[in-house]
Amino acid sequence: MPNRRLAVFAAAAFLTSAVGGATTFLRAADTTVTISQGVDPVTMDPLKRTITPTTNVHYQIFDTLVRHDRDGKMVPWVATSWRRAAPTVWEFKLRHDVKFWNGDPLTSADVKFSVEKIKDPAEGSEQGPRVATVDRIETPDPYTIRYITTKPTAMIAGYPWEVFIVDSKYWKEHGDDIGHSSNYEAEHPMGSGPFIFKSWRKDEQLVLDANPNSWHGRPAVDHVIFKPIPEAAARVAALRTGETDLITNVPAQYQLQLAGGRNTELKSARSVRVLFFAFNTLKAGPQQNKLVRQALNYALDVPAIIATVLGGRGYQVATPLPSNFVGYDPQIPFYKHDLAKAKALLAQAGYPDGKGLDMVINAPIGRYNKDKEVAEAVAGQLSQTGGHFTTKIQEWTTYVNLVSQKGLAPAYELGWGNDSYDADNTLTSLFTSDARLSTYANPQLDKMVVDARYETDPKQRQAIYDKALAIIHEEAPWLFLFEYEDLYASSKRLVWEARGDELIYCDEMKLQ
Amino acid sequence: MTAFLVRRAVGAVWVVVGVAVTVFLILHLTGDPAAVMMPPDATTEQVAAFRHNQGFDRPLWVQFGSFAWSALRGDFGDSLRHGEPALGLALERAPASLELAFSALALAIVVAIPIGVLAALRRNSLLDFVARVFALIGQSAPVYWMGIMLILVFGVQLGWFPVSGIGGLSHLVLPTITLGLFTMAQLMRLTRSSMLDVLKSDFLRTARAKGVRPLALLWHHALRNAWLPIVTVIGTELVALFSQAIITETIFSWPGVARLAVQAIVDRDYPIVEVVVILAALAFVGVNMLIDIFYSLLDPRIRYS
Amino acid sequence: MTTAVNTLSSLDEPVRRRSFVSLLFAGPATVAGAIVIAVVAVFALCAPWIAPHDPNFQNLPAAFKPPSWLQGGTATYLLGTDDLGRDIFSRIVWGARVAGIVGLSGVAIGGCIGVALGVIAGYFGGIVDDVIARIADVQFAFPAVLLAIAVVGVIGPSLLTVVVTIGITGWVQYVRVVRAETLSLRERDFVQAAVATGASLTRILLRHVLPNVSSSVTVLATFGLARAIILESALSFLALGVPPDVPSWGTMLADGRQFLDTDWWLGLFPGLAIFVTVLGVNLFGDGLRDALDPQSR
Repeated sequence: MPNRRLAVFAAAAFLTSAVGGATTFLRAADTTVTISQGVDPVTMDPLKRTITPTTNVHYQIFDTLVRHDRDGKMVPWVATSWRRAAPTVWEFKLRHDVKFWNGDPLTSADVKFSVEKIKDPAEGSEQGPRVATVDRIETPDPYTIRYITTKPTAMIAGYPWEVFIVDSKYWKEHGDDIGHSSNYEAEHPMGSGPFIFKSWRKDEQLVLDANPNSWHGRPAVDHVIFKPIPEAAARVAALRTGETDLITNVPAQYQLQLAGGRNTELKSARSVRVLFFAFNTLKAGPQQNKLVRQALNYALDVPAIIATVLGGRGYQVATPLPSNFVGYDPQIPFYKHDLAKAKALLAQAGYPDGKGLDMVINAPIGRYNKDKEVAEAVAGQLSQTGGHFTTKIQEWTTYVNLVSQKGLAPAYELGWGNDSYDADNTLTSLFTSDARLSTYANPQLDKMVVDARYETDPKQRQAIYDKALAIIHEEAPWLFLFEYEDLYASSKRLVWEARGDELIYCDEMKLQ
Repeated sequence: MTAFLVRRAVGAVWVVVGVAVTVFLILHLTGDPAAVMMPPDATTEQVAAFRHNQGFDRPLWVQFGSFAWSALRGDFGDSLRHGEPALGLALERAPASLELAFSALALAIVVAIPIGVLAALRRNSLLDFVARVFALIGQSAPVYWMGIMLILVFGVQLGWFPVSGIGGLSHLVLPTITLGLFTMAQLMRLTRSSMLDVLKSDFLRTARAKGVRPLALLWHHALRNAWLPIVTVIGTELVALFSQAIITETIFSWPGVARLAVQAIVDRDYPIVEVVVILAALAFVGVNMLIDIFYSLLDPRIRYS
Repeated sequence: MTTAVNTLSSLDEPVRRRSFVSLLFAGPATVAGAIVIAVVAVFALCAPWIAPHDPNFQNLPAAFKPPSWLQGGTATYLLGTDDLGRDIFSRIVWGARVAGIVGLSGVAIGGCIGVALGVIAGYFGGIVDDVIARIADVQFAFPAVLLAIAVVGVIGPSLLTVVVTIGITGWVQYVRVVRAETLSLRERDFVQAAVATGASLTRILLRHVLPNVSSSVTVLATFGLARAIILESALSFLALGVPPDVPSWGTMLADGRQFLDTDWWLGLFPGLAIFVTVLGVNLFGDGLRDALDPQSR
């Protein structure tokens, strides 16, 4: 009967609109997450800078071929699979359904353009070292890309495949091509990521909206706001008042307050960053004597420094590598605190009771978490050998200049955060004879590092690294300290886990 | 009058030129920006290439020449950190700094001058004593200690005001108090002492003897003469205000020019440091010129000095 | 009789006021200021005997101990310990030395430069005066921070660097005042008389001009001392201050600021030390100025 059909139709219509209305009502409470880092991002051009607070924004709006999971393993992202097609050829297959926000499809041409732009001097990119192993790129079809490397490389969980992919058509339309650059991209990004760039008031706030058409699925969070707060105390205060939902670089002394806060939570992750003191073995002095270097390592009480200066947020290291890195060797022993042994070694080296030993411990300030305080503690502990140890603290720009000129001696502090999760970057940059930042020269070690870089059998590779790390332990070119535990704090309603490489993926966030 | 102004203008130009040369020399002689800007795992060749691209390996006088020539046409180069024109970046943030500076100055004037006048009128009373103590405290307390204390007490514990960023009026309160405190203290002491000088002077006693009403007396005679040193001090306080703004803007995450400058100094981002220092010098010189004009209008004797 | 005295007196130099000391210490504020300065001086001079501990001795297990009157505090560490277990009270006592050295030498350098340039500018006038005025203007419009970075970049961080920086940023205020006074002194009869009798330039400047600007300079120097102490703490805030093995109130405050809402005593006591010292110096300076020129009372 027409009335009943009308009634059913009306009922159905009413129900759907009611349900629809209810979901809209639920949806209408827009979920926004506010993140406060210490500095504002510098640019929306993702091919220029390497500094984390900036790249953390890029990770939301641009895609890469692969991502790292929390254990540092590579997982597919825009790339679905990869294989080694030939000794110097790595081939990646891409998804077919990735689109930029303006509808342009993401193809291998865009990937090629991104890498070439990084290598282009006109771009002035800092990311050059990351694509240094790539000689050229081939794009046999829109969804296949082949990296031709200069020499056969192992599948280093590394950089060329982690470049942000930009829309080559869009860039060319706005005057940005190979050979010449425009500033347009710095403020008008075109990405394919889970979030869309909405607005940016510099040093104030940067707003991102969820991308409903993301190939990865619509993120659970509707908006992300990046609001920089430089002063740590102010950052913590803002979290407590609810003005922000997530803060980075939380100093250890706030951990009790934030862990037990009414609406705050502490989150932590074992960092990829290691803090150490390097001995400048290229300059004359007591540090050129291996016995002295070993003795000083025994004189240190690293666990005490971690407990007091870092509030317990650190892990002693025996090698330059964090424990989840390719190349790490758990067999290498720690230099346990042993003052008697230290003094014995020093006596053997010609410094009985530390007499005649006078060393300056150089350190920067404000660059690494508690850098100055750790240096002071180290000098204090080393003084117990009877020698004379003083600290010389300088601000970062002066300091880094001196470091790159290898001008700091006999010992200087540095931190190294290698987010490739692989030994090669650390060993090459810090221990080989011709590295810009290395003050140690050992031809035997040089050869090992190069061999390992191009060794393709993982077991063989690990064997080489085992030997290399043993040499490093014995030679003690460093005062081995610790790897950091990074502290973050968030409001209780944010569901998110911290990562050791300081990256923040907002598409993994949820609000409860 | 014109000759006076022209002389002052010429002097002002010299000051700005002097500042530009000095800041250029300081930046370029104390560090290599290429080593700072490039990531730690860059090789020596990559750093050298970067240095060459940016023109840092040219002789110093060549660099200064090209800098000066472009600067005169408004091009201060691209920020090394942001990759965008330095002048644009600085001007973008200028309104926020001006907002904070003006409100701090306004607060200082509105509070300090009436209290200074009252303290002078009621010398050695309780009000006078409290005012002087308050002024001494304001002059002696470190800026960042003040800022953090205000954040903790009024932001976190009491929750009355937001603790970071720019926004409405409520965001302005704590940073303004922090920035304005020192100037407030200075102004109060100065107002009080110059009022005291005027109150003692003969001509005022004559005016009173002639039967001029007290309020009119106060306004037309006393205050008008006490203005001059106050206005001068405001002019010279601007430079101190900039240094204090550096700390205040950092603590309160205020998106201003001073905060940009500090970050640029740390990064050795030459173009930004140069443009900010030169703009600040221009502002300082400009304000002082205005004060001189104001001065000479008020007191014709000054024109011929 | 009086007229004769008057005409004669214009040939004389200004007479020092008698009962200066009684004028000076008439007000309780000035006395309080003097007491503060005296205490700081005693701390500075007798630090090795007053401080209960070595200010640089680290005792990591004893870090972050609160002041002795609070729970968790002990009598061994009167004001508690800092983040490396060093005794805060001892560091404050030794810090008085740095405050004294930095303050006095910084003021001495700035004062010498400023007075010298001011006298030269005021006495000779003309181009010399113009040049000096230009340099002073440029210096004045220049942020102290940049200058500090330059000095640190050239010399490297040390106590000397801080002293030099404070001196270089502080001379301008002397120039203006001294120049104005020299200008007026130059026209005074007794100076003219000295010139007329062929006295050498040095003698005129040293014997006649300098002593008469000394009272303004002293007042300026007193406030310069307060300024120097605050500047040192600001430089430490930016890591451009004294090296860490030299305990200074400025570095203690800069280091302690990150603990202000958790272990507040690290930052409060050095801050208080700076505040009280600067207050005392300011109070004494006020009294000094009033005593030297009673009309401003």
